[in-house]
Amino acid sequence: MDSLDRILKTLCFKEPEMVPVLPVLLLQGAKELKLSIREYFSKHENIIEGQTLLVQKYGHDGVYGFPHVVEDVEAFGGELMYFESGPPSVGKMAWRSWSDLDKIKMPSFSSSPTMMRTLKTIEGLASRFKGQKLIVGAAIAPFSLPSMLIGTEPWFELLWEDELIREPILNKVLNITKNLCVSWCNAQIQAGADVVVLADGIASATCIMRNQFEKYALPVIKDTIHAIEGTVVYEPVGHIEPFVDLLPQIGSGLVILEHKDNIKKCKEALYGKMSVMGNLNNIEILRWDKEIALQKCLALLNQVAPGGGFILSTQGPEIPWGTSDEVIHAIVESVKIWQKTRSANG
Amino acid sequence: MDSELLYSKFYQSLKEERYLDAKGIIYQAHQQGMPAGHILVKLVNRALDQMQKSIQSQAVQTVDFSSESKKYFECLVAADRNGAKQLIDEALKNQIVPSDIMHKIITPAMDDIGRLQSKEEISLSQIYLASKTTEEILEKLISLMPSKPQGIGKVLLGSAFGDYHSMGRKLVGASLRFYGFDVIDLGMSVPNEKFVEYALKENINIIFVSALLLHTAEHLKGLKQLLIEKKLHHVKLVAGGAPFNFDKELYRRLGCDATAPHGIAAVQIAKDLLGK
Ligand code: B12
Repeated sequence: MDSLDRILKTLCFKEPEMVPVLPVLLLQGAKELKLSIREYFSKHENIIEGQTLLVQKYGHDGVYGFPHVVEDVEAFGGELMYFESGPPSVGKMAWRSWSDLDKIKMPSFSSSPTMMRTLKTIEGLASRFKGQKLIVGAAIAPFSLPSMLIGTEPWFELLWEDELIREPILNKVLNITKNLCVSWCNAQIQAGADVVVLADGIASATCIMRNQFEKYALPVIKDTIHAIEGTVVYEPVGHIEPFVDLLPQIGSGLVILEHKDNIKKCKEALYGKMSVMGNLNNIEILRWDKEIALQKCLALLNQVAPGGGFILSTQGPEIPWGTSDEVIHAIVESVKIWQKTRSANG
Repeated sequence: MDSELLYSKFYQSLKEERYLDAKGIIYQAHQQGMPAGHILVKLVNRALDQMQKSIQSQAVQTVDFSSESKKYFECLVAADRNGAKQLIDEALKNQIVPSDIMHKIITPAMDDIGRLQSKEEISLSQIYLASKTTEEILEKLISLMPSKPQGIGKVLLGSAFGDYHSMGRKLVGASLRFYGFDVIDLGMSVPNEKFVEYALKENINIIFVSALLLHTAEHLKGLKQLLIEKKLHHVKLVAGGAPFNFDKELYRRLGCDATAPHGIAAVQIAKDLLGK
C-alpha cells in the first residue's frame, strides 16, 4: 500500500496498515540543496528538487508544492520580505485604508511571479509523484487574507465597527478575497495538487469569538470550499476546539489542529464526518531530541490513531528551520514503531 | 493634652478595637477635668458618629464600585465599547473622582481580563477592543485629574529586529501604561543596538521585546549579549509573542530573563523585576 492509499483509507475512517505522516517541510529543501531560502524559492526547479530530496530522505507521505502561504499577497501588489533562517513575511501592505478598495481591480494570481512559480512547482511534482505521494497546495482563506493585506489591527477594528459601516466594507472585502482564493485553489488543483490547505488563522478561537466565527468566517469558508473543485484541508492555525461542533458544515474532510486543541476530544466529536491531522507542538520541537520526539509521537498515536481518521503531523503552518534532522526522522519513524507494537500486541 | 488630640486618640483606639485604651482615654479626660457632658458630646458621640459615617461610606463604596467594575468588565468582554464609555461618563456625573474610577472600577476589570487571558478564555479581538477602549477612557480621565499620576518606572518596548508586527507590542504597551509605567515604544523591527542605545540614554532597567515569528525572536540572543558587552548586566530582558506562548522555555534558551503570555501578566513581571 503506498502513501496515497494510506491517506485515502484513513480519511474514510478505516485504519490503514500504517498511519500516514505529513511533517510540513517547506523551508528544509533549501538546506538539502545548500541554498539560501531566498534563492531556493526563486526557481520552481529548486523546490521540485528540494521536495524530492526531502521525501527520499525521510520517507513521509506527501510533497508540498507551495513555498509558504505569504505568496498570496503578491496577487494584490503586496510585497514579501525574505529572511535567512525563516519563512518570508509580508513587507509592504497592499492596502493602506479601506478606501483603497474602490480603486483595486480584481486581483489575479497570474500577476504574481511567486504564485505562477508555485503552479509550475505543482506541475513538476505531479509529474514525479502523482498517484504515489499526496501533492499538497495551499492558500490563505478569504477571512484571514485581509489581515495580510491591510494588517490585523484594521481588520479587527472593522469587525467591531457599527453594522452600517462594517457590512458594506466586509462584504466587498470578503467577495474579493473569496474570488481570488477560489480561482487560486482551482488553478493549483488543475496543475496537479491532490489537496489544497486553506490557512485560516484569524478564524480561530485564538483570534475571534464564537459568534464572530458563525457570522463572518463560517459562511465565507463554506462558500469558498463549495466552489473549489477538489479536496480542501482546513487549517485554523490557532485554537479551534471551541468551534469544533461547527466544522462539519464547512465541507472539508480534514482539519489540522493546534497542540492546545484536545485532539482526542476533537476526533471523537468529528469522527465519521471529518478527519484530524496534527498536532505536535511545532515550536517546542526545536529543543527536542529523537527520544523526546518519539515519545511525543507515540503518545499521540496511542490516543488518536486507532480507528483511522488521523494523520500524524505538526501543528501550525510549517516545521521551523532550526528543527534537527533526527527529530524529523523520529516523527516519520514513529508510525512504523507504533504499528509494530500494535501488531505485536494483536 | 488638648481635647482634639484626646478625641483623635479615642477615635483611633475605637476604630482599632482597642477598647481598654479607649476607656483609658476617657479616664484621662476625666482626670484633666473635662466635664462628663463634654466627654459624652466631644469624645463619645462624635466618635460614634464618625464611625457610623465611615462604615456607611465604606459599604456604599465597595458595593457600588464592585458592581460598576463588574459592569465595566462585562462591557469589555461583550465588546460593548459604547456601553463601557457610557458607564464611565455616568460615574463622572455621579461625582466619582477620576482616580477612583481608574483604580476601583477599571483596574479590577482589567485584572479580570488578565485572568481570562491566562486561561485563554478570551479572543485576541476582544483583548484588542478592551485595551483600545480602556486606553481612550484613560486618556480622558487623566485629562480631568489635577495632576498627571506619578509613573512607577520607565521601560523600553519594541518589536524584535525584522519583525513588522505591531499589534502584540501595542497591546503590551497599553497594559504597561495603564498600570502606571512610562513606556518608550521604539516601534517595529528595532535593531539591537538601538535598544541598547536607549537603555543607556534613558537609564532603563527593563526592555520588553515582542516577536511573532521564531526567526525574529532569535535576535534576542544577540541583544542579551550586547547588553552584557556594554556592562548593562542589571538591564532585564522580557520577551513575548506567539512563539513564547507555545514553548515556555524559549525565553531562557534565548537568554532572556522572563516572559509573559499577555500584557497584564507583563505588568506583574515588570513590578517584580523593579521591586514595586
Ligand atoms: C492568525 C495567524 C496567521 C494569519 C494571519 C497572520 C498575520 N496577519 O500576521 C495567517 C493564516 C495568514 C498566518 C500566516 C503566517 N503565519 Co501565522 N499565525 C497566526 C496565529 C494563529 C495568530 C497570530 C496573531 O495574529 N496574533 C495576534 C497578536 C496580537 O497576538 P500575539 O502576537 O501573540 O500577542 C499577544 C501575546 O503573545 C502577548 N505578547 C505579544 N508581544 C509581547 C511582548 C512581550 C514582552 C510580552 C511579555 C508579551 C507579548 O501579548 C499579546 C496580547 O495578548 C499564530 C498562532 C497563535 N496561536 O498565536 C500563528 C503564527 C504566528 N504564524 C506562524 C507562521 C510561521 C506563519 C507563516 C510564516 C506561515 C507560512 N509559512 O507561510 C505566515 C506568515 C505571516 C506573516 N505575518 O507574514 C507561526 C510563527 C512561529 C514561527 N514558526 O516562526 C505561528 C506562531 C503559528 C505556529 N504555531 O507555527 N498566520
